Amino acid sequence: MPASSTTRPFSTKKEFYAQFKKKSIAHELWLRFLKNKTAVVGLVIFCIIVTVALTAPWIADYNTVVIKINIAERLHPPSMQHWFGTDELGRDIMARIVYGARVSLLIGISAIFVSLMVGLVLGGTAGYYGGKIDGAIMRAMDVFLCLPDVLLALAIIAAFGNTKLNLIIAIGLAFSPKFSRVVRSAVMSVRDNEYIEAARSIGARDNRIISRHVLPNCIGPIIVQVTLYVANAILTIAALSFIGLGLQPPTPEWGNMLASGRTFMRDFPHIVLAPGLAIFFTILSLNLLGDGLRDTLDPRLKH
Amino acid sequence: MDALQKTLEIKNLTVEYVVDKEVVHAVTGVNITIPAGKTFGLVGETGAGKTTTALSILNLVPVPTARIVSGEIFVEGQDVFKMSPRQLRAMRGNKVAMVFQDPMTSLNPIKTVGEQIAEGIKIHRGVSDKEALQRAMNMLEMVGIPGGRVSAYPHQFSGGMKQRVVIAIALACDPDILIADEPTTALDVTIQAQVLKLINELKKKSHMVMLMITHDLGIVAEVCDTVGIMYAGRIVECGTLADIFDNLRHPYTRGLFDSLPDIENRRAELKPIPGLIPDPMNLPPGCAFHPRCTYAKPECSRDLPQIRWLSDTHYVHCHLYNETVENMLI
Repeated sequence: MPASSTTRPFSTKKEFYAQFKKKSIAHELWLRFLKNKTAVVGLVIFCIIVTVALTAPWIADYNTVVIKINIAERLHPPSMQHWFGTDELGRDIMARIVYGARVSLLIGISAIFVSLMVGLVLGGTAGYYGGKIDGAIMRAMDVFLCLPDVLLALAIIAAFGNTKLNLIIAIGLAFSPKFSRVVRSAVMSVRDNEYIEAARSIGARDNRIISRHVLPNCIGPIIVQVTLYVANAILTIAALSFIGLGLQPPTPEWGNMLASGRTFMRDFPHIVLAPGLAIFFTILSLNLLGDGLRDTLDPRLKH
Repeated sequence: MDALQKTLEIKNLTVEYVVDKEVVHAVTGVNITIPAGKTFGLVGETGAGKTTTALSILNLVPVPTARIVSGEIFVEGQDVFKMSPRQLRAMRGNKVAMVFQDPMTSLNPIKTVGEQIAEGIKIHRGVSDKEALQRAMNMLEMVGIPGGRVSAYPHQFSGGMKQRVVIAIALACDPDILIADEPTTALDVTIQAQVLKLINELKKKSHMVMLMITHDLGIVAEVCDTVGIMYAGRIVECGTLADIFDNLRHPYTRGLFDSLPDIENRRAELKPIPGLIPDPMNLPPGCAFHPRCTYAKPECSRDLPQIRWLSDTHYVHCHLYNETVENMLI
């Protein structure tokens, strides 16, 4: 035997043992996610948007730049001073887009949080108990599903006024039937597992079983839907603002920026292009991310 | 009450499943009495109603599909079918615990084994999380797994270790009655032996009542005091280990033993029981075993056989013994 084959290829003992260390599930999923290039692109774009939204106060001042009317500088095309140009009231569009991202993300994510909570409770109950309880809850949800999201949100806003909180509640409730369905089907696939019966056999209460055993095992499909529906909710906010029922000017919001810029669209396309692209990239990034997560978390789609 | 402590009594239990308006007779008229410190082995083929019997003890049969038609189950003198949901929860895991068949599926994949053992302790003992985890660690060591592995997940364990964890969960609250539903079926023979040894040791230590469900007569010989042979929802023969192993009387019990390979006579042909276990939706009239029975007489397909006591401990459910207590299987 040559001497070289007996020497260890690893310089330290630690290194040698490190190769046997088992990777955690989260780490393995992360590696699988990284293989999906489009999903990574989605994640990167979304992270940029979130970072921009979070650092908005350092990018532009709200009172002096974002909402202050400056007629002298109205409708400037994009330049070094105003990257995306200025709007019909002379405000810097870049600054308004950045603050608009704050609004869209805040309302979009909070609204989905609301619908997620409603969905977890209703869908979890319906899926776990099945039978008559399931029938009652899901038929009620079916009724709500018959109405378009925007219409349902619109009705709630029309009745209670268009504050941020009302928007969150309106969109949250509008999306909760969909979440209830998703949660219900996920719960139904988990509830017949033997470990659920085992939990029952040690005397756990139903609500403990649902919250500690059933729902944590449903987290995969729920995360995917959360990502996809945040995109949907942001679109709904923009749509509501566009028809004048969302946040009112001068609050910067992508939908109302589009609406107010519409009049000048023919001569100054940059004024609608910027908010349009902002909506486009946000939705695109969330959809890519959502699809990537679905591929990662659903082993049946593994290539 | 003292006399009833650590006892289990099943009286005339009948459970049906209703599937698409068709009735499945899962368990019919089962009687089991287990005195303190004893182990009862329930033996039968797949679909004989063993698991349904076990789930009935915890009142966990899947209502509304399943229906308890009649019967009483006394856990230390208290009827489980008359308990309130709160009393049931207090009983499950605390007085009566169950070891499930397949350790691969009966552990929650996303919780650490420590959390899963601690859960029952937290529910029934009301101790702090920290203390519950400490006790979980002790339980793990008791079943022969290093305590340091409390924070491991089920997928990091082998099958035998998982079954030990399942046993640790069942024993976490020091139950008086342990139901073991085929605890070794999913395991390798070497691991089976380890688990059986563990069960035997624990039984000696804590004097609990045990209902051992299995289809393996070898396991019965190893751990049980009394045996019930179940066929199509009924106990067809029941007796002590000696009654069943040395003095069996029912043709079905004979069939079960004849299906075992004989190591001393390897040339001997295996004698499987002809035919299949009947469709429980459509049981044959009379004795459910008669289409497969080589001793079948005309009355077997007509009348249900009555319980015939052959001795104080041994009864059989067969027309062969209507007039005699002599062994009719020659």
